[in-house]
Order: sequence, then structure tokens, then C-alpha cells
Amino acid sequence: MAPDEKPDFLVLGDTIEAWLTAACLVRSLGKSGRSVAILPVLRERPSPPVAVLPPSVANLHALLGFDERDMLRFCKGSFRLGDRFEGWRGEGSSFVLSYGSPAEFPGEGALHQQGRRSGVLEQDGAYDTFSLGAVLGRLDRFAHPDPVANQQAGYFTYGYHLDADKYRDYLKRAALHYGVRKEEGDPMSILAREGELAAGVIVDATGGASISDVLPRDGWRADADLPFDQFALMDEPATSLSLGRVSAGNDKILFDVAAAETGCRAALFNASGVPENLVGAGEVDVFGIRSGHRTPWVGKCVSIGASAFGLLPFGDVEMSLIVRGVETLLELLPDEGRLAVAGQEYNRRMMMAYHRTRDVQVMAFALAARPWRTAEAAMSDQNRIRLEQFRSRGRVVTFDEECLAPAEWVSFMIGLGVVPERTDPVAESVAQEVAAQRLRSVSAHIAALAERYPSQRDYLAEAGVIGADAFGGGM
Amino acid sequence: MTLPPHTLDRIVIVGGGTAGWMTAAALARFVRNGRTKIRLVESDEIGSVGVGEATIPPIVAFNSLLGIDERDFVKATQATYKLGIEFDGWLREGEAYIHPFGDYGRDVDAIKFYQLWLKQRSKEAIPPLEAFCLSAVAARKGRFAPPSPDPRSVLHTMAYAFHFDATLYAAFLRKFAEAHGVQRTEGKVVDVNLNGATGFIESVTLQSGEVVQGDLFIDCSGFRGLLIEGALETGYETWTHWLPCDRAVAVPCEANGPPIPYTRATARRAGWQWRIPLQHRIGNGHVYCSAYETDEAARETLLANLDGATTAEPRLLRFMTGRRRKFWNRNCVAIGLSGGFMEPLESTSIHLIQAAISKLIALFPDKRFNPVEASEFNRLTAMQFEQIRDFLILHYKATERQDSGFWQYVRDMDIPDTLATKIELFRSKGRIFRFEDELFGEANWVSVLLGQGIVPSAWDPMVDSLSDADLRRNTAQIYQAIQQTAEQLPRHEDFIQRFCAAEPV
Repeated sequence: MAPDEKPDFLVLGDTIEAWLTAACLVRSLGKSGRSVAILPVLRERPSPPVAVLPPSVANLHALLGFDERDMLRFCKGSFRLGDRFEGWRGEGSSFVLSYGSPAEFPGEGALHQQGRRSGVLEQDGAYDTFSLGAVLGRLDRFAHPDPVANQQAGYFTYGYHLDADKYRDYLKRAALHYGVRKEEGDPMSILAREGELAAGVIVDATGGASISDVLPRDGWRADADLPFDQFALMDEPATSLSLGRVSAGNDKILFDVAAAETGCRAALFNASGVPENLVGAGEVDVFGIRSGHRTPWVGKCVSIGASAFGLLPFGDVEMSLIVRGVETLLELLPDEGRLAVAGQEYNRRMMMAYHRTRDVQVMAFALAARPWRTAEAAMSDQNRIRLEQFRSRGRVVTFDEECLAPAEWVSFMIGLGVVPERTDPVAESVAQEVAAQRLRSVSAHIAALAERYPSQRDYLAEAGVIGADAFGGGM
Repeated sequence: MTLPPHTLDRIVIVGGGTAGWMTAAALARFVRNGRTKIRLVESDEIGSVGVGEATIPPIVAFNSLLGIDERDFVKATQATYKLGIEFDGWLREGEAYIHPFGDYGRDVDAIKFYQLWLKQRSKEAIPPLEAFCLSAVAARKGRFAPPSPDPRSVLHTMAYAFHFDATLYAAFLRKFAEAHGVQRTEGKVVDVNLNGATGFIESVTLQSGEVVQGDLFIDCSGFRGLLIEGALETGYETWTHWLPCDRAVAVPCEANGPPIPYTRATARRAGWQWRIPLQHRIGNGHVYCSAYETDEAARETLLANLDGATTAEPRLLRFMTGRRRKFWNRNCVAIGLSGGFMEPLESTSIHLIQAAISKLIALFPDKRFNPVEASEFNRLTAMQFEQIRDFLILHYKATERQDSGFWQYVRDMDIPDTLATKIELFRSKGRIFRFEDELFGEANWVSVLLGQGIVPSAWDPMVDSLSDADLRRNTAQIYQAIQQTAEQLPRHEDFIQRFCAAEPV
């Protein structure tokens, strides 16, 4: 592409989402002759030092030809198995929401149905013992999944905790390597080149930088039903490499997460009641949480990441929506003649993805045994149906563009204290004593299996992630 | 075994036929708590509609879940295997395409095969898309073998369903259900007794005077909806604006050759004609719109287009396309024709029964009848009806026929927004997006959209990452592998003869 030539796609931003989008676009467009440029305007809000990536990012990494080990070495990363929720059902309680699925019950009826009959679901954290991912997460152990060996233990999958700056650099290398043109110069004049917006499609991945206000977009709509509106970022030494930790207190949530060499804590609280232990911590900067959304695609402008959607910054929700946004954009890959159709479909799907992701957070707040402002008004119809159905007889309802898989919803709702009022009749064809015995044996099998896994730190050291210098040539 | 106190004691199924016995068999198999009794009331005096003789692949899983031996079932129901449906004359007269079961070709690096095909066809003459689907090719060649479990085998891509005699299927399932404890009661329901306070059904009274009490009632009484409409006045939503056919005339005839492994749906002046080959006969029917065709003319059209001599008198069926406003009302669940009706263009009638049964099992109530179960059943079933409705409308809307008022009407009619968006997205770049666990998948939509002449104006740009030479080589390899595999399969009639031939009638 000649330097002055108008690109087919212009990505705005210097964020992870900007470089990820640019790299994936250029890789997907291949030999089609269509071009991608990036204008790396700076993000004006802080981004956490650890990037929390869900398993779904694997498809995009595969598209980019990433070698996992090389990426982890370069980005000082670790394998992420999920999140540990502490204190949501009251002080001292905890459960793990891990990626994947618990073991199958050996006989008729789902495992959680048999667990209900045996009274397991009422015991704090007991359901975790049926999930290899959750057990490994608690022990901070890891090795790559072996579906054959683990057949009777369900399956787990994994995402990553990466040093955010390094990951952005890694993506940047990939993007430039595959032919993304980096625009230099004054952003405003580039955007307004030749009196019109500069590209066929503009992707706003600035994370909400003010420059993007010149783009023709809908306004931001606040969805203010979540209980916290402020956050602060702090350095925090690593506790677990495998799990994020989401701790609930009466006046705040703390989200601790650690990559191989970096750890951080996000404290979420409400402006009207700043937690005491944050007062006086002079070096802590406090930021407002922009909870809400805008229509992600208007005219020729697509917003990805924090430019389009704002949720509370814990877990992998932000990166989940980014990955979904990039995947959907790649699926629709619009040309100028068909922008309207592509945009309509993109908005339909991404708004669903946003609401389904938001459902996860709203569900947590609605069910927590904490004196927070309830999120009743924020309960979508889908969330209400999901909760009603599960509460009634443990049935899992899922909708399009879900953030959690059905088995993950089960673990999540059980972890938050929802015990179905009755059992699926199919499960009743197994005698209760037999079911209880089988459950004990599944859980013992998983515990024994988990003991054979190495600690994640050892596994990373073995792979050269810990203690290695920079890599980055493995894509 | 200790059971919760609210466990149902009595389930009453009103109506035998395919819906009644499928429901009875499945409940007998899955509700095995030792307490819930299942009773089916039917009358030999009331015939069943029994025209839904063609099925789609999920029926294989249904039979397997019941633990039915597939070949015994084929033998007992005079069944043949089905690999798809041929639509003849739907786009324009003289042109036909197959909507096959199973996928097309082999994806390359997550790029759908049909996207590769779209690009290549824009550059040179290549065989139609159906030539890259094993089920379609085998269907055309009259061959069949079950799919291979090995994912590396071309035969793994094969998918199938059955054509069977619905009356024999009901009898087969009756035997199964009775062996699993279902009690059958011969008798005609003459009254339905409601609880004055709750409006729930308490019992039904039979002509003999016997009163049959129940906790849960399942209405499998067919079009008339004896319980759901007759007693509970649930209401009906009609879709005749989009699917205007309202009658069918059906007749079996003798076969004049070995059975072909696919259904044929031939467009006629004011509707279409089905042809369903069984082992002992061919099932035929003409679905038409009474506003554009008289009953007599429809009958003549059918009789003039049969393969052999008729073996029974033609039967006229009147129907109104649409669905019950609630499929589950109070303690009554409507399954089968009592819940709604859509013409059997895509062989969905028996599948809708099967899907309703699955949902009922998943949402199985107790005596408290928590309303969240009924509302969820209704939400899911309505959604499924509407998704199938849209798929059927596509066959009519996307036509070039103008040879009658009927075809002009369906060509010009408005369509649901969901379908319009789907068509537009496909036209743009061949994209298919499914909604909420939709029955028909990408391959189904692609085959009908292309078959009905909706051709995308571009292809997935990711296809351009392959060179033209690679594209050509890939397509040629797949074509050859599929043609060769199909050629090596046994002839459909030979397979049946060898493994599952029915007793001669």
C-alpha cells in the first residue's frame, strides 16, 4: 500500500484490542488486495498491567500463527483456569468458576442433579471437587489438558494471564509483520484526510480516547444498575498463577490476578462510600467506571472493546467481548457496498454478546449475600429465565452469544448459592445411596489425578517462561 | 426409593397415533421412578392422520435413546433410508436440487467449503454444490450405507433419516411402551372435567362411562386438540399469510421400482406434491391452497402424477398452518398436531413431536406445576415453530415461477424480518447465521438458498488466501473422493434386502 493511499480498514488505538484487530484483519484479508492501517492514538484511561484472556482467544492466536510457548515467554504469561470467588456467599465462602465442564455422572441424570439429591450443592465449594479445572486451579497446578487420560474427570480448558504491555507489543510485532501500515502524524488530519474519513471502515479501538469523538457514532448509554462506579489499580504480588481472585466485601470487590512476573489488584467500590483501607493510600489513582454501551457499528465506524462496551473490570469479561468483536468483524468482513447489512448483523450479535456477558456480572450481584444495592432492575429477561429455570429444577437455559458455557453457568449459580428446588426425574432412576457413592468416587478420582499435575510455576519454568529473556520470533 | 412428595402419580395421554405412542414410549423410558403411572387412551374408531412418513436425522438419536434396534425398527415399519429431499420445479419448472442431510465438502483452515465453491464457480464451470455432498451424491445414485464413525473417512459426512409407515411406527412404539409399563385403554373421550377453582384438567370421561383421572394430561388428539382447545380454549395463531396452503389429498400407490433414498417434493400449480418411497408402497400427497385450486382439480393432479396404481382411496385433509398460543396450558401439554401444524415440506412433523417430548422431559413438572416450566416450554416450542416456519417460507418466496396466481402471491408476499435479514446476509457474502439453537444448520440453509436461486454476490475474503491452483486442486480432490465413495456404496435396495427387509405385505 502506498503511504498516501486510503486503506480499506483504519484501526484507531494503541491498545491490545487495536493491535489484535489490525493483525487479525490483515491476516484474514490475505491476498485479497485490501489493506489495513493503524493510527496508534494513546489510550487516556489506565489499563491493568495484567491482561486476562479467555480460552476463546486461541482461535485468533491460531489465525496469527502464534506459538504458545513463544508468546508466554515473551509476555511473561501464565495459564489461566478461571476465577476463584471469595466471600460472595458470606465471609469465608469460596468457589471456583473454571473453564470447561465437571465430570459426567456415571449413570443417568446430570452430575449437579445427583449432587442436589446427595446434599452436596449446599456445601460451600463442594461442587468444585467434581471439576478437574477447579481443583487444579485451587492447587495452582497445571499441565496441558489430556482429554483421553482425563475422560472420567470432565474436561478443562484454559486462557492466559499475560503482562499487558508485553502482549500488546507482541501483537504489534505480528500486525506489522503481516503488513499493517502504521500511520504517523497528526491524528486529526489523518482522520480528516481529503475532507472525509480516511478509510473504508474505521475501527475505534482506542479504549475510549477523546479523539474518537470526531467519529460519526451514537452516544454512550449508561447502564447504571451495577453497584460500583469507581476503581483503583494497585500492584499486588502474585498469589495464584492459575486463578484470578474476585473477593467480595461489603463495600468493595477486589480482583487480584497474576501473570508469571506481574501481579495487580483492581479495587471496585462506590464513590459514595470509599473503602477505609483505600483512604490514605496516597499513590492510588481512582478512576470512574464507565458502565454502559454504545451501538457498536454506525455508518463506517466499528467500535471494539472499551470504546463500545463498559462492564466492571474483573474476570475476563473485557477480553471476552474484544475477542467476540474481532471474530464477528472477521466473519462479516464488510466491503463498502454492503456496510449496512454487515453493520446491522454486527450490532445484533454484539449487543447480544454484551448483554449475555453483563448477565454474568448481574447474576453475581443479584445473588451475593452482601448489602449491595441489588441489581434487580438490571436482570435481563434472559437472566430471569435462566435463574428461574435453574432454581426450579436445575435446568440450564442458554441463549445466543453466551459468555459462559452451560456447565460453567451451572458451576456459577451453584457457587453463588442457588440450589434447585427439586430434582430432574431422570436422575431419580438411580438410587440415592448409589448416586452418593458414585459422587464420592468421582471426586476422589479427580483429587488423585490433580495430585499428579506439576505446580504451574514448575511447569512454566520447565517451558522456559519463568527466568527466560525476551522472545518473540515464534509466530 | 425415597421420592419427593410432589412426584406425579398419573400421566394421561389422550390419543394414540405417532405423537401419542412416541410420547408414551419416551416417558416410559425416562420417567422410571417406580411411582408415576402412564396411561394412554385411544380409540380404534378414530383413525390417525399418519401422513408424516418422512423424517430428518434427529429421529436416529430418538430411537437410539429409547434403546431401539434400528434394523428391527426399519423392518417393522416398512422403512427405507432417506438422505435428503429433492425439490423439483420450485425455482422454475424443469429444475431440481437436493437438500441433502450431511455437510458439503471439507473446510480448509476454518473456511467453509461452500465459500471455496462460490469463488471457484465465479471463475470457471464446476459441478453443482450437491456434487460435493456425499448424502446428495449417494441419493442421486440410489446408494446407501450408514456413516462411518471414523472422522477421517468421507463416509463420516453421511447423515440419514427414514421414510416409514407412521401407523406401523405407532404400533411398534406401542409394543415398546406397553413392555415398559404403559397402560393402554381403549375408549373414546366424551368429556373433559376441569377443576372449578384452578381450571386444571382433573379427568376425562370415556364413552364407556369410565373416568380417567390424572395429574398431567398430554393432548395427542390431533388437529382438533380435544383437551388443549376443546376444554381449555387456548387459542390458535395462524400463519396462512405466509404459508397459504390449507389442504392436502393423500394416497398410497404401488411402487414401480426399487425405493429411492430420498423424498421428492414437486412444485405444482397451486402447491406441491410429495413422494415418499417405503419398502411396500409409495406414499403420495398433494398439498395445495384452496383459494387457487379446487379439491377435485387437486385430486386429479395427484392421481395423474403417480408411479403406480393406487392402493387405497384418496383422503382429503384440511388444515390451518399455525400454532397453538400455548402448547402447555395449566396441566395439559399439546404434542403433535394438537400443538400446531406446518406442511411437511421439510419433513418436520415427526421432529416437532420428538422435540416437544425432549422439552417435556427436560421440564418435567411435579404436582405443584411451577409456571416457569410451562412458560419455558412455550417459549422454546414457539421459537422452534417460528424458525421452521421461516425455513419453509423461503422455499416459496425465493421462486421465479409466475405460472399461477398462487406462485405470484407467494413470490410477492412480505416475509418475516428474521428471514429477510438471513436472505440479505447470504446474498451479500454467503453468510449464514443461526438463531438460538435452530434446527436447520448452515448446510441446510445453504442448500435451499442456492437451490432457490439466491446466489451471493461475493465470497468470504479469507478464501483469497488460497491460490487458484490450490483451490482447484482441493475441489477436484473432494469431488473425486465423494464420487468414488458413493460409487462403492451398496445399492439402497440391496442394503435393505440384506439387513432389514420387511415381511412382504
